[in-house]
Amino acid sequence: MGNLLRLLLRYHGFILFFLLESVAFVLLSHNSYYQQTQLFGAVQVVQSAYYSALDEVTAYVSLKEENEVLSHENARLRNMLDHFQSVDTAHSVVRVNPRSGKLYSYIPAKVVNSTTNKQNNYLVLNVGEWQNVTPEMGVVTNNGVVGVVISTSARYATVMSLLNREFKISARLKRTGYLGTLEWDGISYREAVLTEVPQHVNITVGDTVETSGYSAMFPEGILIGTVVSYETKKGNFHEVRVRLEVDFKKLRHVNAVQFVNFAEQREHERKYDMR
Amino acid sequence: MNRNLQHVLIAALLVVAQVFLFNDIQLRGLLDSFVAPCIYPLFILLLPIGTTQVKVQFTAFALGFAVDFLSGTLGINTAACVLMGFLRPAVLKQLFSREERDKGTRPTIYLLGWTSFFLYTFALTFIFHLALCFLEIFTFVEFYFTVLRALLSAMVSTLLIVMLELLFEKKDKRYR
Repeated sequence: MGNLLRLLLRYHGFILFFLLESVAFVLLSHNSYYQQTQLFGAVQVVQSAYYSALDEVTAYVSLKEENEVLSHENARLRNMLDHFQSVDTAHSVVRVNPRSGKLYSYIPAKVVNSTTNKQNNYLVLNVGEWQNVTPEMGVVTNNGVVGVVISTSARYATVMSLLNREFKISARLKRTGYLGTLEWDGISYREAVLTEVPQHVNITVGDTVETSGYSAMFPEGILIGTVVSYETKKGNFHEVRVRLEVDFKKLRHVNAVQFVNFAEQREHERKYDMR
Repeated sequence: MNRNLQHVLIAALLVVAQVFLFNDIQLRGLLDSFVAPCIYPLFILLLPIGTTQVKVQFTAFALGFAVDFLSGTLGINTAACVLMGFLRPAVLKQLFSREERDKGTRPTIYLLGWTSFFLYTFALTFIFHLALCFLEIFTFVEFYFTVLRALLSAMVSTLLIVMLELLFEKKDKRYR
């Protein structure tokens, strides 16, 4: 017993180290992004408020560029309005996706905080449950895919960015129609990788990559980026590097997209165990 | 002011600066996904040389936990910080004799001199960032990529820490 005590005393530094590391690892292993957002609701509210305040100031820096983007969009929308007025449709935020004929509602939002320098990046939007934003909604801009909402509070939503090693979506080469999986390799915030494209597919640099519409989160045919290079990996697949259309460092105005009949489609998929 | 209170305030200030300022640092272009500097380990680096293992490790744990809690990455900073605290005596042993270690001196840049302080800071921040990067990604698949990330982050952290040390350390004040 005395020997044991002496041993414990002799190595108390190491034992303590071991104990504290164990605690840290337990915390780490119980900490998926889901629990994280549940646990830190309160902290998130404070942080979001802080970033909103910061955004009030920093927004001025990119005002000019934002104005250009907005005026372009205004012009485009005015054109559309003319068209719709001529065919007399009621004003609505719900739009029909021209490719798939599905209904999507768009909720405009502002990015109040985002990271691009981590391996797993997230964004915070200034919309939440009050604006009917719910988890699993897709987030897009005029230029392309941004990410997926993973949790919401009353006024804020946390979005898993496309720049996240856990993010995967089904994407498609527009010209040939072949599908692949788009993910981020953690290197450059301007590029992602399209994998699992069959080797026989003919790819050219500059090809457009868009969403496939197989996942209910994003409408079909939303732009993702263009092919910058490709190589053949072991096996029978191409690995295609895609230059992202969205510049995540300049991101300000985005839309949360909701597939209106999401629950209904889910129900059908569940019936035959398709996911 | 009470010395303990002063230390707690400094620690709190470092944590707040880390979470709200340095976590937001973004570099241009490719470097961006490689560099995520941390300045709060400064507090552990500067604990008096003779501080007991137990104190150092509990301090490291508390600091890491605070940063984790505020930035929503529970466990990662805590684990890295405790590891750094655990290995601190081994690095200090290389720099000081036994008698010096027993005194309550803090290993400031003025005590160590430029070269030693740089080495001391870099050694420990590199260990810290290695742990941080591997825990963040939690795989050894892209081993060298992760090591490179840790190395670059550690270099930037070291620079920042040295700058902070030069800014806030008083030259004549060796004892606290």
